Amino acid sequence: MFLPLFGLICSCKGTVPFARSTQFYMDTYCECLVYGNNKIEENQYLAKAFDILGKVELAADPTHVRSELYRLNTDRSISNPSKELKEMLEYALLAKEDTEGLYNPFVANLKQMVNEFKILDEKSVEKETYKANNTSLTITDESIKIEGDANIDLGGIAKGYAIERIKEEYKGINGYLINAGSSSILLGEKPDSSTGEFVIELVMQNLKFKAKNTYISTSGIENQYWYDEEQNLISHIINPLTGSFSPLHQSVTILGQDGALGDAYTTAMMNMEMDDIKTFCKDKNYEYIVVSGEIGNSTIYHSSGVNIIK
Amino acid sequence: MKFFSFLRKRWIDVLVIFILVIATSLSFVFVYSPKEKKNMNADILLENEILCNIDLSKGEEKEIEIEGLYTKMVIAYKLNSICVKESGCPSKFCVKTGWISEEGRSIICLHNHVVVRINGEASSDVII
Repeated sequence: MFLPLFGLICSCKGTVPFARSTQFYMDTYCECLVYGNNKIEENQYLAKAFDILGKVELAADPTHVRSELYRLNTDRSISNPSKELKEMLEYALLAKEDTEGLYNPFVANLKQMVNEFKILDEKSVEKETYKANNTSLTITDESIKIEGDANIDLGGIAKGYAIERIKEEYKGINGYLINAGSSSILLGEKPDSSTGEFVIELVMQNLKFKAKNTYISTSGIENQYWYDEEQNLISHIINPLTGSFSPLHQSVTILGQDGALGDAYTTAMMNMEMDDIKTFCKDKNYEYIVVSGEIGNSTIYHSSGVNIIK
Repeated sequence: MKFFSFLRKRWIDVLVIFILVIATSLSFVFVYSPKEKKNMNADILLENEILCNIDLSKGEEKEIEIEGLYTKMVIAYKLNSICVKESGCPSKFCVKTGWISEEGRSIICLHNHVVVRINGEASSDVII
């Protein structure tokens, strides 16, 4: 009888004040939330987060003429690269190696085709896929050079890299949540929750889980797909090895202590078989939630370390 | 008579039990009762600036046209629900999201930098 009363008392830790701001960076809305009792200090932390997101955007936006990546794609080499661009490209090459090419930063042209809803004729896809798999990078402290014909897209790296940099800046505090457009999330602790955990919801699957002090990375097709004339599902997730735009899963979410590579890994896992995902996550120490099967008839797989609540 | 004599002797115990029963009942009501959707309203934001606020609790069924960053959009709303009905964006992902009716939920049109957000505390901290 007294259980709800006990639960109520336990759960009432009191609401801890927070500062929250949402701004548009890297083609998405980024939400930053910092808990605490000092409004000035919280706002300083928010400003630090948005400063990093701005720097990363300036380095990695492939469409903006002022960005370093735009110059690199256009001029094929740049001198004196920023720390941000250099590190992101190094991460991208590492992710490509780790996933045996299922994540590939040289898919900018393929991505552009799908983003512009161009008719995906087989020859163009084949040509761009060949370019993506036959382009490489030379990175030194003084310069970066593209060898090959493909352009670079850092979509799977930039947000994760940004939240990893934000975490370094947030070493002095515990209560925060950084959501870089759902694909890359950084969680500290939620001070007004009894366990310090945040509740995360995969809205399409009506699935909720709890987590704290972790990075969460997600790739998925959600509403971002359509069907071509032959009723093939087309999404923004590309298999760089085959040029296919139809991934094997609806979404892949991973939880772990590596922020920068997480989004690239989940992008790659969208085209991995379930057994390979399990092995990959075990090797890299990630927890996973994979939504598979046809849309409207999904099967959810998750590792034992995910604290599912619904 | 025995009952009243018992009450007189143990009135403190009875009072404590009575208070606990009342408190427990109230906690049941507080914990399990569904939250009322009072004054549900939605903001429409362009580049993070509020374009307009819509009262969803009146039950009006209306459509409004707004200018997104690149194209026009039509927002439809009815009692406690709102959706993007039309958008000139290439993907139409915002339209595909359909109606939303929970506090804290939002529809984002990345192409037009438009957010349609039902104000209030969401039941989840992060929605993916």
